[in-house]
Amino acid sequence: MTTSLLLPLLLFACLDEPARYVYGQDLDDLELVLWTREVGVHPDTSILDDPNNPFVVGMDGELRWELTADGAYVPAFYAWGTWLAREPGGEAQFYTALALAEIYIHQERAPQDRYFVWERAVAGFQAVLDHFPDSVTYDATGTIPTRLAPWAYDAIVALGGEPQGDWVVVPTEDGGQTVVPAD
Amino acid sequence: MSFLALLAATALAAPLHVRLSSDEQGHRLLVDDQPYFVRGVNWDYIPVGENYAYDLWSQPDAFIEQALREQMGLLAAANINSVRLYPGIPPRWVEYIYDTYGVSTMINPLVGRYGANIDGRWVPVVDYSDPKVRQALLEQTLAEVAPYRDTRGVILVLLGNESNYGLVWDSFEIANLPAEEQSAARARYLYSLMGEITEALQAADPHHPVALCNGDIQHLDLIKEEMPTLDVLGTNVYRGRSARDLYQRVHDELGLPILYTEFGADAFDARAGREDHLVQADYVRAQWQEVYEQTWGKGLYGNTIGGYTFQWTDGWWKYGQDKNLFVQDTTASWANGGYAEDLVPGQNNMNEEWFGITAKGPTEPDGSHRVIPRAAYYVLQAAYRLDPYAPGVDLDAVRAHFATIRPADFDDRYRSGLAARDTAILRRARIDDLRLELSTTTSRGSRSEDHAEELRFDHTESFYVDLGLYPTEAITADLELNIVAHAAQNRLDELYYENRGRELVGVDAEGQEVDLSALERVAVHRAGGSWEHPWFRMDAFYRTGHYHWGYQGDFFGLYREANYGENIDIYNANAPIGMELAFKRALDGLRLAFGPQVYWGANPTVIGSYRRSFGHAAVTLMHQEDIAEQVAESTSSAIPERMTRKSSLSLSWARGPVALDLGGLMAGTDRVGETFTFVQPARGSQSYLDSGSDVLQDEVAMVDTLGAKGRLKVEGGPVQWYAQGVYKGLVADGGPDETVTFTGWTLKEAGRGNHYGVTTGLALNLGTVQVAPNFLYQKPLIGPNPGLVGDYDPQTGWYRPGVPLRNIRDDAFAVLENRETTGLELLLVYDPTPGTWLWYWDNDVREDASFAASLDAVYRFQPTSRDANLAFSEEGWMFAFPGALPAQDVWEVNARVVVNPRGDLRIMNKAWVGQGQANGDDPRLVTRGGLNSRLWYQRMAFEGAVKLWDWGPYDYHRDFNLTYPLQLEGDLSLGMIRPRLYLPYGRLGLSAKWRALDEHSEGYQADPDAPGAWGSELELGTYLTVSL
Repeated sequence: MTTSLLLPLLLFACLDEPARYVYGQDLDDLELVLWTREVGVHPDTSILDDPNNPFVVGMDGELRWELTADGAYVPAFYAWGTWLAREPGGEAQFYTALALAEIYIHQERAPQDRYFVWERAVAGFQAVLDHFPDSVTYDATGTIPTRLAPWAYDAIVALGGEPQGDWVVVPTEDGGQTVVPAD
Repeated sequence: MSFLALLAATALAAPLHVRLSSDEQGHRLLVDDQPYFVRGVNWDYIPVGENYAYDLWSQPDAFIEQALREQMGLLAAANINSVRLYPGIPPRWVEYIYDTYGVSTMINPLVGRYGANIDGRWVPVVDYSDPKVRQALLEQTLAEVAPYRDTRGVILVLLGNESNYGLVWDSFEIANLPAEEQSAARARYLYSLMGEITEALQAADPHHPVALCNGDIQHLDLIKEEMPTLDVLGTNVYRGRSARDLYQRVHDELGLPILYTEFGADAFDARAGREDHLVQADYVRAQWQEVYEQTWGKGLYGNTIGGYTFQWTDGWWKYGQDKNLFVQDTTASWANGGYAEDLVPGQNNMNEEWFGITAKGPTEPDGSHRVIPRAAYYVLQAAYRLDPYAPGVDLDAVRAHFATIRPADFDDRYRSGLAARDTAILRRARIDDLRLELSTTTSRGSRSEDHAEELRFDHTESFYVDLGLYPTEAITADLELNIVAHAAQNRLDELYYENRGRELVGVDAEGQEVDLSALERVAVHRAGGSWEHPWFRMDAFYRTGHYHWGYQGDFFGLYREANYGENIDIYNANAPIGMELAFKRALDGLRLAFGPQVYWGANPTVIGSYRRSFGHAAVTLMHQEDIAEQVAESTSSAIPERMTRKSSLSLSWARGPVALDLGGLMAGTDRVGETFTFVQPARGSQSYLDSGSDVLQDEVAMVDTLGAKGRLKVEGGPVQWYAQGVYKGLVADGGPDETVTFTGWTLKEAGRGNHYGVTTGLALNLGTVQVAPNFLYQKPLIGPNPGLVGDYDPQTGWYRPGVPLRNIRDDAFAVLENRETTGLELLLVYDPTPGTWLWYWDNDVREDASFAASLDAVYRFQPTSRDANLAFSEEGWMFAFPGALPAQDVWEVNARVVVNPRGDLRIMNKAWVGQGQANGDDPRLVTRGGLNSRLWYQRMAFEGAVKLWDWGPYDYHRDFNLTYPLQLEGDLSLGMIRPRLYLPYGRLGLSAKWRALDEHSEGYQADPDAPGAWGSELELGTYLTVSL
């Protein structure tokens, strides 16, 4: 290799930014930035490209539950959203939408952005009905399943939205009610 | 040029002077004052699939020359000296045919016989009474004939074609005549016009007599009256073996020489419905005998000057004209009592498409065709040996000559030609192989989840059909289909090709069970094709192997070898699929390979290579561009990597004992800017998550896409030495090194990027023994990730992400086979016949030494771990192992022995012992050993294997570290032919497998009453393979 080629390569190497040490970050300072119009709703996976997402690499499998339990809604959104993008499922979609709903309810957004947060939350719950109608979540023991569709349906109503699709409210044996597909 | 030569050249170049000579002995045609007996044919060149619209003379000159070479050569061989042609032939080709083959031409304008262009409008049925039509036809005919006036090779001009049979126009004048007079009235107009044209032609060209093509001898009186200057009466006659009173009538009523412009017989027996070329030949013999008898000086009417047999070759377009052009129609279109052999009263017997004295061969890919001479051809060849004008040739001589000609004598020649033609056609498509594979399987298990204690019986039937297409010598194609009738479900090794046809049940939208078994019963097992074109060679492949380009300048292994043996079938993988093009001529050195999966696990890609030699050196430039991501996934050893692009430039130089290879690589530029995480020893007392390491993040830079490699080889006497150094940036991935440097060393540079290293080896050749130590050192630029679990402190909100292991799908690079390694290898080889190189892929069957062996010991120091491998779950999902293998030094010894005491006995053995790590993250170190032996004696074959503490046969066994304490296999067969390696062949056989199971084995079921007791699985089988 001639000198004329070597010099640019060395220059490249020298101009290359040095590596950055990783120390972690304070998730309390994490702000919600809706990276795209479809973020957080299956089948969108743009959350994986979001530079603001601290969980793209190295997220522990239990972290998302911890964040949800701790009320860290913004980090919980990113954690669940990352999980949803990697392993699509009803549980991940529901809790992603739930995190957004909590952000909306607790006014953790500037007023001009709150509509989009609300809209994403409703869309997320709707995605549970559309794409994962039979999905369940389990209790802490991991043995007792609970259908997520009724929760998603109720969440949409509670947020002031209108559930789409052929769903009907039916009474349950214990006197409550649930929703089932119309067919 | 001398004056004489100029005169000779001028004479040769001059047109023929043709005239008629008549005296009391009859008429003769004189060409340049020499008697010229016309031995002619109606000739055309219309390949099968074409019709009257086909124009040979508009084809390229090379094509025309080739066509004429094949056909005029045959004409000349039969002493045929003239052809009847229409004015479409360019004059230069008339001269070419005459000068090259001695065949003259009778030019035949049709004078509106099948329509004419009158005032710019096509008139299909001309009215010969119309002055405008007459004038137009006169001018057109003169214009058509004019170019041939001075053309060397033209002997006659013939007008029309049995035009008296086409007088069907109507006019007021004709319509007013009585019916019986209308035909004669039309004929008079025809002949009067012909008379005017004849006179005009003769005035313009006195050296070429003019003939009329009449249908038989109808209207001789009108011809005499309206065509007083006509030179020759041409006539189309189909009267059978004898023209009977024709000669007398023409002599008495017209007094002109007779030229048969069409006569002959068809070669199809309409009554029997089959070809009968011998009867045709007999008619042709009889007809020409009569022509000879009626020539000048024989004492009869002496008014024949020869004829044009109808016709040279069959016209497959005649019946239907533009329909069924690829079929030789056997429909008879008219009846003729002169051909009594196949006449059935009330039915037609003249088969228009069968009049050739040669049969027509198939159309070749270049558009040409050949002909197959019938007996009639050979009859004419024999007949024409007699010159009717030679001194002493009288009537008796003619009859004696023709009496010796027997059509039956030529039957075999035609049949041989037909057989050759049919063989050539049949050879284009054939069944290369049919194979039936039938087998039974009986199995049982003990402490096994997968095999019950009770014996289970099942069976497998599989059929293969191998079709070959060979349309030309330059093009071949091959397609092998497999059909599964039943697939056994009780085999110990459940992955096998036919298992794709196992019973499959699905559920439809209504929740009903649906049998899906038929979906994969029929499959394309493999296919391929090749095309040897003047500019390139193309090889297309579908599940058919190909070689790498490592010896053609692919220094970084971009285009990998794709010969996988039975593994493709085991995993039912559709690879490789693609095409290779190797260019020639001005593009020599350029190669392309492209396809959906050119090697197992490849992304859809295009790989190009250009290699140029300069004396002792060669330069190769290569580029690979992935087009899309591969979606087909079959096993962990062939997992597709991320889409990328790679370019390499290499230089190879060799002179005498020294060879040097240098190369540069740029790969993975699509990953520039990607973030990656890595660790390094902690700077201070505190470390990330108390791991002892600092964690850093960086981005792939341009310099990380670059790599370089250099290899020096020196050979001197018994010593061969090489040294190689390599540096590859983080994402500068090449492929594995599949070349062999001197000998069969195992330790080689890892093709993957992210490492630097050196290898060096020495091969000492001491007579028949080779001692070959080898050394490898390699180290990643960035080591494997430690697999740290992240941490979140809810009190402070502080989050430290984990550092997971990398893998080839989710990360820009990974540490796998390029892990830090110091390798030591000692290879010992005993090969008394190095001509059959021990490292050829099929050396097991090629080795000709009575004893040859190799012993290869390798020790690897592996002080660090690696990143995560990928595998498939039981449900078929691909996943990355969460953990990685520990740092571990391993050793292994492999031995190979080929014993060849006599030609009909061969023993091939492989043995191994050593340590190995799983592909996944199970840390258990496996110490294993085994022996595989294959014995061939005449048509018998025995194969046996003993494996101790070894992995099962499939990739997932090593992925999940599934081993068996003991595995025994045996297979004994009697072949219908001698045994073949890697290829199926007909044989009858017995097989047996037995293996012990422990807690590390797949399907082991622990017995609470006998903790630690081994389980077992047994399989007995019979099989029969029958193959063409």
